[in-house]
Amino acid sequence: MITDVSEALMTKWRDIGIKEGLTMNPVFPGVDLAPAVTPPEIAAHLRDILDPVYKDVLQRETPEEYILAPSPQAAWDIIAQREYPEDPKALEFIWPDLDGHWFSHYYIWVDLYKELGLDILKLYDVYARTRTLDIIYPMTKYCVVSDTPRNIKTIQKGEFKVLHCEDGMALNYADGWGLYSLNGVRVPETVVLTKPEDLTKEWIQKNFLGQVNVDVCREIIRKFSIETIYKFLDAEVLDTVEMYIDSDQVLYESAASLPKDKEVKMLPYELVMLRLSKEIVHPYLRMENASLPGVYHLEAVGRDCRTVREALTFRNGTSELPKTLS
Amino acid sequence: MHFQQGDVIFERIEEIPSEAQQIHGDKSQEVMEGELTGHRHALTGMHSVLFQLAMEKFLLVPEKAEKEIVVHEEHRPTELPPGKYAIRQVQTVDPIQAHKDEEERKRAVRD
Repeated sequence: MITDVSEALMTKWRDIGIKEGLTMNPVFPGVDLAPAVTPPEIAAHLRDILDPVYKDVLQRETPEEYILAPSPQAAWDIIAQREYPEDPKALEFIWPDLDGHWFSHYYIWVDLYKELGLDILKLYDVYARTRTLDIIYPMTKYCVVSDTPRNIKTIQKGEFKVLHCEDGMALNYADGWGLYSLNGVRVPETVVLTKPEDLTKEWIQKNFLGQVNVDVCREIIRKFSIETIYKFLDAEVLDTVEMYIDSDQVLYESAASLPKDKEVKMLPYELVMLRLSKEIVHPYLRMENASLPGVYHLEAVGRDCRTVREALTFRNGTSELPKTLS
Repeated sequence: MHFQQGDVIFERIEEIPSEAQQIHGDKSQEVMEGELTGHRHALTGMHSVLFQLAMEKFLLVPEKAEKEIVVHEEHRPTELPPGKYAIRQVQTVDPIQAHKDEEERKRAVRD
């Protein structure tokens, strides 16, 4: 029976659970990818600080052996080398898995039961200790148990937290493996570690012009500024156009046709010639993200484009402008 | 007529190719996914249907749906009226390669 006392205790331990990380909010939205391959029919348990109590639990699934690895990546590398020597990418899946901290859910209720003076099964102590684990992949032959990352650095973006660190890895494990990320975009190490004062034309040619991912390019522009890139690549502006979107995302090509009863935002477009090398000068379209004010994109367009309109026609594959843009 | 959300374009078409197959399962709502962000352009309605033919995707927003709303973590929602759409990404070029190709073409002409 729920009494005032037990209800107060439940509230107390619920709050503790939330504080300790028991939340369903994803750090990375949309990471629940389906497996690309069938998980291998092998069992192993990988963790560098294995505690006997975990073995007791995991051995119930009869693993054949334990392999120690300090990060999930190192664990997958070992399994891939053994099981898929011809195709090491075969293990690039991240589901199914269990999150270690989910087990702390049980521990919260154990604490509650203890405070209520109720008897608790001894096994619940096991669940309590799984709070120190990260992702768990239970399979028939292998069971990959990951240590928790040493650092996770995030920034709030709308309703989500995304990985972000401007001077180092945004996420890293004890063995040194990790990744660099700016505003939730996974970027090469050099994008994070290169300081603006150390920027060179060669760096831009290699890391910006050679980058095919628009999100990475966006973050390079955001970090080093469009003006800096223009300066290093001897930019020559060919055409500028102002377009507009209203609060319903309807796009207007000129100010003459703007609605009077809606809020309107101006979108600047610019076509610029950039000197990519001694021999090559190429047109690029600079545009502001319609949904992220202050975020700019700079994309190569067809080499014959000389106006913003031609560049948009090339980019969109049609001569008409979109009805709505977001 | 087309509608644009970030780098994804929804272009009205007359018919979806008859060879296109309906997408089922986990990917049935996923229009496109970012390579490095995990962000997705995703359908929110219950009635719209995604189709795939080779690398191309198509969308059917039936009349009974009234509209389809496509969402993305970084972009404002895009409303699509009932109709048939071809889905494609905006295009860019590798300028270095483009100039190389042009030089080779010029050389070929000269030869």
